Amino acid sequence: MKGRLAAAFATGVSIPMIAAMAALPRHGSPDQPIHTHVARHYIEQAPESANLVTQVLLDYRGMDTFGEVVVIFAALVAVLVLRARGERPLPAPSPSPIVGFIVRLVTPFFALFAFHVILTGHEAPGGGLQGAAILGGLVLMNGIVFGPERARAFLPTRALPWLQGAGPLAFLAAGILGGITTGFALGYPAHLPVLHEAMLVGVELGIGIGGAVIFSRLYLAMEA
Amino acid sequence: MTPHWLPVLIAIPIAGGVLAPVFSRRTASVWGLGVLAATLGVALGLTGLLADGVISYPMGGWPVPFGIELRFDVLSAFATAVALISALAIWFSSGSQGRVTSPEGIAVLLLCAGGMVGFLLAADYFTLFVFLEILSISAYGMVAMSDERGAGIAAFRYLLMGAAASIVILLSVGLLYTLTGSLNMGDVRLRLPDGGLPLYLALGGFTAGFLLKAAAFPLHVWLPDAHATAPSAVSAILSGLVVKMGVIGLLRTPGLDQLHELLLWIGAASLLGGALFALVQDDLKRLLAYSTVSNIGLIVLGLALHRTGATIHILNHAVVKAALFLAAGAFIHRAGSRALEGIGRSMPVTTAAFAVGAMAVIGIPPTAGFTGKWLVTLGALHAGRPVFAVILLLSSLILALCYARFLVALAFRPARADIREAPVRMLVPILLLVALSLVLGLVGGRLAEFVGF
Amino acid sequence: MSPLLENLDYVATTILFCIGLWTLIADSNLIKKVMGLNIMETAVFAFIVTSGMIEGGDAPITGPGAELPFMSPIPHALVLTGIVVAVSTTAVALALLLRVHREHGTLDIDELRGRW
Repeated sequence: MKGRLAAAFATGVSIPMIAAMAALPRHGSPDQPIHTHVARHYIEQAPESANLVTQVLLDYRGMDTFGEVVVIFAALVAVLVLRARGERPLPAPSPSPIVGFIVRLVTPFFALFAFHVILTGHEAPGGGLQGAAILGGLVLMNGIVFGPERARAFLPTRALPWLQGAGPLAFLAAGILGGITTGFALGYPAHLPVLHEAMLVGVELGIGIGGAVIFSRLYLAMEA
Repeated sequence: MTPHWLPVLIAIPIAGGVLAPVFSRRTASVWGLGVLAATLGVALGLTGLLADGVISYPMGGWPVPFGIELRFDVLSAFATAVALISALAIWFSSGSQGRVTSPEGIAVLLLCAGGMVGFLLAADYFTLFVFLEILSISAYGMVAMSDERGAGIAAFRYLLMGAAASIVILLSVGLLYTLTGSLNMGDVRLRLPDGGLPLYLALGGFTAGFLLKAAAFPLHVWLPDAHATAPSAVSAILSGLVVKMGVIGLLRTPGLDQLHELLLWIGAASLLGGALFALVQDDLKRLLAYSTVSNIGLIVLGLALHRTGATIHILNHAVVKAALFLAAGAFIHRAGSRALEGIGRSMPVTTAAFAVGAMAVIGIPPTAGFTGKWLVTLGALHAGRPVFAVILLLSSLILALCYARFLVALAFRPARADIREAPVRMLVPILLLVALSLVLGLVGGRLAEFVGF
Repeated sequence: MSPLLENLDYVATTILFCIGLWTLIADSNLIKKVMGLNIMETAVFAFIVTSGMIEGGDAPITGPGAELPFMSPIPHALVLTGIVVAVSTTAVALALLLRVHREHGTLDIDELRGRW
């Protein structure tokens, strides 16, 4: 009964939605507002060699990306605060030797690849969060195979409160630096190419490392 | 030089929240208070400069519409209330051993405040969405800070509905972007088509999403449990500030005038429904939660009838409801349970403050609640819709009955000798808020001039 | 061609959205409700990211071998941000469910009756 009501509701919602979707500007045609307004400007102003998606993320819409790293940070502290106190962690699983060997084997290569993705993100496909997902996945993989203690070993205990905030903190630093050099918060100084590059790489690294620490801690908080 | 304070205003509470886990349990509350005091200072300074006009800041120096714009307008001035009430809530719980004052708890509170400040300042629909998520995710975590049984379920229900609302809002942002090719609020308004199904879908999505976030009747079902089970300091923030973000989001929606009739009826239903549900509650915090639903109804009604009145009531209700929830928290703290009969005689100061707050919620003249209700009533009469004025009066009467019934139970039952007056750290925030509500009531005319829609 | 077929991609995302909505409302298992939420999120991301599509367009990465027209880079950036937001919401939801399970021993609405 309840299922049918819900199905009727979902169908009822879908009809006006589909009608509205069909009335949108024609999908894929180059002369709809999406392509003729702001995006055209971005593409016309594009530098010689750049990943425009990363450029939009870090430069034009840097504030959104700042908000995004704050969102995952907020999720981490929310999970930490509602974690039950005084629970014993699960016993470590005993991995099959083959799985254990393969995980140990690929771990350094995964890490290398993650940093490649983070550092080349502004010119090629990739970026900070993509790298963070790979690094975080690496920690999770080790945690699932060898137990949470092994995953915890990847995280430096003393620096943890600073590292988990690396994303927002890198953005704040870049925002202040940009404010000093360009006159606008979160601006990137085009007239100082070395600093410009350093700021981009710094922010990407901050997002990447901070994101990876947050993903790992989220996993560990739920495991325990 | 002035516009540069806009990104600073957002950065202070967020940086404070990110750094809070570095502190120990003893110092985290002090850190939180300091950060919010700085936020309050900057917000007050910017509010003082509003007389010279709206302040706009292009992030990264990109001209509008290519970059993200921040704007400080009359609605953004609500950031002062955000900083003040969050700070008083932290002060209220300082020294307790609960999760609220743990370093992570302070971080969540500060991030929620930062999210709200960013939400108020964003002049870009997608930035608005991102900051809405910061404050919503922190709010889900804040409800779960309670150790009470059932708080987990209440928080999860809040999360399900809040996340669904966020998705619908994001869909609407996507539709607006597909229609106009822009995300800047001013630019979208200029480029919007005059009609057509996609525009109505986007408008409907914004309305449904923000009304859900604001807990307007009948989308309020998540609110009573969440606000009643959360720790009282958190309830003050949730009821005073977080639900208001939904209404402010509605005020940022393009083409709100087309929804005039819908807002009228949802507002009226919420006003009356909230008051009627409040009448049958035995628990003080549930009563306060339903009274919030009723007041949100007044604000939604005001969006259609008298925007100035609605905006003033957003501020006044924030102050008053925060005071009431903190007073309820003080009662529960001293009584050690939710059974509060006769506690009024043992805690005369808190009870007096609660009574003044109750009068303000009902809307008795010298208090803060009066201005908004009066202006919206006038709006209903001007618009030739006296039926809404009648509904407004009726709901105020019902609310008066609720609070009177509760105050009688507090004060006219045998006193409980084992209970003392609330501690100073709880009393001072309550008294400050009550005093502020009286001041806001007295300067109601000035306030209306300042808002001046 | 009818507008429904021209905008078939948008229509498909709408159908996905409604499947998610149906799961969210109808299923009595709380984890499946979270999955319904995730399906809705995915549908909205798919809608936004397809809106930046151009027929015969190239990925918006300049450099040797890149040819105009480019897809619009903005929807890609928006969706990247959106995905992170969705991940965060899901993380908090699952942590809450762990607590609910610890307190009540079940994640089924019908067994949580009275408390739901």
